[in-house]
Amino acid sequence: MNGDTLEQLIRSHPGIWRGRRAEGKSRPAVATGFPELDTALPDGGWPLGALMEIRMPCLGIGELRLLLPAMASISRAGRWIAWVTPPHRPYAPALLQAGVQLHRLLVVDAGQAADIPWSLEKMLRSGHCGMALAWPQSLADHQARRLQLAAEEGGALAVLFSLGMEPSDTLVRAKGAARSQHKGLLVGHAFGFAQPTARSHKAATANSSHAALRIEVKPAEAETGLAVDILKARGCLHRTSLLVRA
Amino acid sequence: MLALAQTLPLFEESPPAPERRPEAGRLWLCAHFPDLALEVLPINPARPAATVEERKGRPVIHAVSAGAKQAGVEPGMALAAALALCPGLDIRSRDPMAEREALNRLAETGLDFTPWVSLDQPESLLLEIRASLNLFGGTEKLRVGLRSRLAALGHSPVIAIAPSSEASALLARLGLETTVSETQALRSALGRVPIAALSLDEKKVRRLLKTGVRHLADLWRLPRDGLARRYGSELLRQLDALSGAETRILSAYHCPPRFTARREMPLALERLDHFFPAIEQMTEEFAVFLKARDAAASELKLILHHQGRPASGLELRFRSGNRDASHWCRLLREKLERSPLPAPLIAVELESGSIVPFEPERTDLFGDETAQSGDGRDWQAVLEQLQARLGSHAVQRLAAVADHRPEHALHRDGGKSSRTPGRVFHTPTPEPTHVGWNKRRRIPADRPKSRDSLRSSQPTEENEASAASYGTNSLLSLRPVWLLTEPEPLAAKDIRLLSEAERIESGWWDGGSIRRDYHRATDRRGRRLWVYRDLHDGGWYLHGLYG
Repeated sequence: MNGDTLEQLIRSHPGIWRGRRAEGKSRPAVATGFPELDTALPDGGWPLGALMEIRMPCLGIGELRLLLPAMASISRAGRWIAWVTPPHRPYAPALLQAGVQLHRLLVVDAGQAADIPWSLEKMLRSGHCGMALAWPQSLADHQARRLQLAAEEGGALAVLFSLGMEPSDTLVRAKGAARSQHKGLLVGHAFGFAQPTARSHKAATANSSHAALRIEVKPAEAETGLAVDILKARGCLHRTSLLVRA
Repeated sequence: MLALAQTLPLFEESPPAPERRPEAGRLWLCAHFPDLALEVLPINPARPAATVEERKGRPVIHAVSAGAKQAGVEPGMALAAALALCPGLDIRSRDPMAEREALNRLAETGLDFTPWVSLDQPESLLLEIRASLNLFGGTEKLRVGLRSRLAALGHSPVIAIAPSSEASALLARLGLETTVSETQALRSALGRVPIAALSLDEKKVRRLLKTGVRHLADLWRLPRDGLARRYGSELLRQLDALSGAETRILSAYHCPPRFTARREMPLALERLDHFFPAIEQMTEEFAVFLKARDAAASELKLILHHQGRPASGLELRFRSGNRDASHWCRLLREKLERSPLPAPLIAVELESGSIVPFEPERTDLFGDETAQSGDGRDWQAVLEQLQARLGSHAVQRLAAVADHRPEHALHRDGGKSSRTPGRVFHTPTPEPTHVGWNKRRRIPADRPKSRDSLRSSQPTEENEASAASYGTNSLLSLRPVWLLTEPEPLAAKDIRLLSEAERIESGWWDGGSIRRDYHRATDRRGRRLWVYRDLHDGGWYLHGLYG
C-alpha cells in the first residue's frame, strides 16, 4: 500500500517533524503476532499503557484471535491477564493452544455493571496486570478517562469490546443498577444479540473518545480473514483498513 | 566504686555450702490419657462404650470405658470378641482432630505448671518440672494439683515422673504412677518392665524372647556392641533414652497468639467517618502485635455491637498472611461502605483469626521491573480488594482438565493461593475420524477412547508441557475461545460447515456419555462457530464461538 510505504518513510526519517506526535519517543508496545497489523499500528504493536476499544458487529467473529498472540507473550513475560465479566466461559484448552500461560489468567466476575470499571481500574493500576479485557455494556466518559490513566500508570493494555456501539456513549445506567441474569447485553441468545443503538456509523466514528486506539473488526469474505479498520490511533492521523488472516 | 564494693561487701558471704549436689538435669512428668479417645466423644456415660481403630486392616478395640471393662472388654481385642462379651457396647471410631484439639487445650493447662510442655508422645503431655518443684512444693503436690486441674476438664490421666521423658512416658503408658527422681534409680525402676512394652517391631521382640530376654533388666546386662549388631542401633537408642542418656530435645508447645481489642463509643454512632478512627487504631495495634511476634494475619474479624440489637460482624480473609494495617483499613472501609449499619454502634471489637509466620517479600536485587513475579504483595492486595468487594468466588483461575468432553475439560477454581498453578494435565489426543460431510459412509464403531483418559495422566506443575501437548498437536483441532454453558440447538440450514467431523465419544463410565461429531462452521453474520451433531438424537447444537 502506498500510504504504508510513505508512512514508513516519514517515520524512518528523523528530520521530519510531524504535528501532534512526539516522534523518536517510541512508546512500549507488544507485538500483535500479525506482521501486517504491526506495520499499520503506529507503535509497531498493541500499545502498552493505553486503552483500546474494539468494535464488532457481534461476538465470535474472531475478535479475540487478534489478541491471542499478544496475550501469550504477555503471560509468558509473567504478567497477569484479567478477563472481567466475560460474556461466556473462556475455554482453557483453546487458550493453551494459543500458548497462553493459564496460571497467569484471572477471570473476575464483577457482580454489578458498576463494578466492572472499578475492578478494571484496580487491576490496571497495580502494574502486575499486563492486559485486561472487558465487555462493558456502557461506559461513561469519565470512566473511560480513568481507565486510560490507570492503564498508563500500570503500563497495561486495557481492551474494551463493544458491540457496534460507542463505549463512550453516554448511556450510563443508574449506578448500581442490578444486572439482568445474563451479564449485560452481550450475552443472551447466541443468535439474536441485542442490536446496538441506532447511531449512524459516521456519527459514531466522529465521536471522540479517550481510547488511545480504536479499531473496528468485521468478518471478511474469506473464512480465516478479518477486516480490521483502525479508526483512531494515537500518533497517527489517518484511518487504515487492512485484512488480517487470523 | 570498685574499691568500695570490695571493702563493703554487699552481701554477707555465706559459708561454703556443704557438698549438696544440686539435682542436675531435667525431670519429666508424663500425664498419659488412656481414655482420651473416649473422653473427647459425646457418649452416654451410663452405656458401656469403646473406640475402634484399624490394625492390620481389622477393627480392633482401642479405648474402653469403665462399664465395658467390667464386662471383660479390653483394648486390643477384636471387635467381634468385644461384642460377644458385651452385646450393648457403643462402638465409636476415633476422632483424631478432636483428640488433637483436646490435647492442645490440656497443654495450655500444663503451661500453668511449667513453661516447657511437649506433645511429642501420643495421647500424653510431657511437662519439664524440675524448675517448678520449689514453687509447687515437691512432686506429689504438683501431681495432685495437675490431676485436679485435668480432672476439672473431664480427663483422667496416669501421671508418672522420671528424669527421662521416654521413661516417664513408658511408666505412664503402663499405668504405673511412680516417681523416679534420680537418674541412677531409673534402671532399677524400669528393670521389671517386660520388653513387649518397648516400641519395637514384633519380630525383634520374638527374637529377644527366644534368647531368654524377658525384661529390660536382662537387656541392660547384655553387651552393647553385640546388641547393636544383632538388633540394630534403634534398640540401643531406646535403651539409652530410657536410662536417662537421651540427647533429643523435645519440642515445646506454645499458645498460638490471639489478639482482641475493643473500643467503646462515647455515644451511639451511625456515620462511618465517626467510628472508623477507632477501627484504624485497633488495626494499628494489631499490626504492632504481629510485628513483635514476627507473624502475619490470614484472617481478621470485626465485631460491631449495636444498641438493642444483636452484634453483627465482618470477616476478612487474606490470600496470604499480611500485616499491613492500611490495607486492612481499606478493605474494611470498602466493606462497611457497602453494607449499611442495621443500628447505631456502641462498641467495635477486633479479633485475630488464624495467625501465620510472616514471610517477607522477596524483591530483585537490582529492582528489575520486568522480572516481577506477579505474585507481589501489592498484586495480592488488589486481588483481596476485588474479593472483598465482589465476593470470595468472584476471582477465579482457569485450568484445563484431561477430558475429551469439552464441557469437562475446563476447570475454574477460586484458588486461594496464586502461587500454585492449577493442576493441569496432559490431554491425550483424540483421534479425529475424518468423515466427509456429504459422503454417507459407515463409520466403524470406534473403540471408546476413554482408555487414554483412564490411564493415569501425569499432573504437571507447569503449563508449558500441557501447552505443548495442545500447541504442537496438529491432531487436536482448533478449540473455540468461548464455550457456551449450555449447548444451544440450531437449525442446520443456518450454518455452513468449514471442517470435517471430529468425533468425540466418551464419558460412558460416569453417566455423562456423549457421542458427537464436532465441526467448525460459520453463519450468515460471519460468526465462527463450533457446532456439533448429537449422534443420539441427530440434532445440531452450537457449543462454542471462535472469539
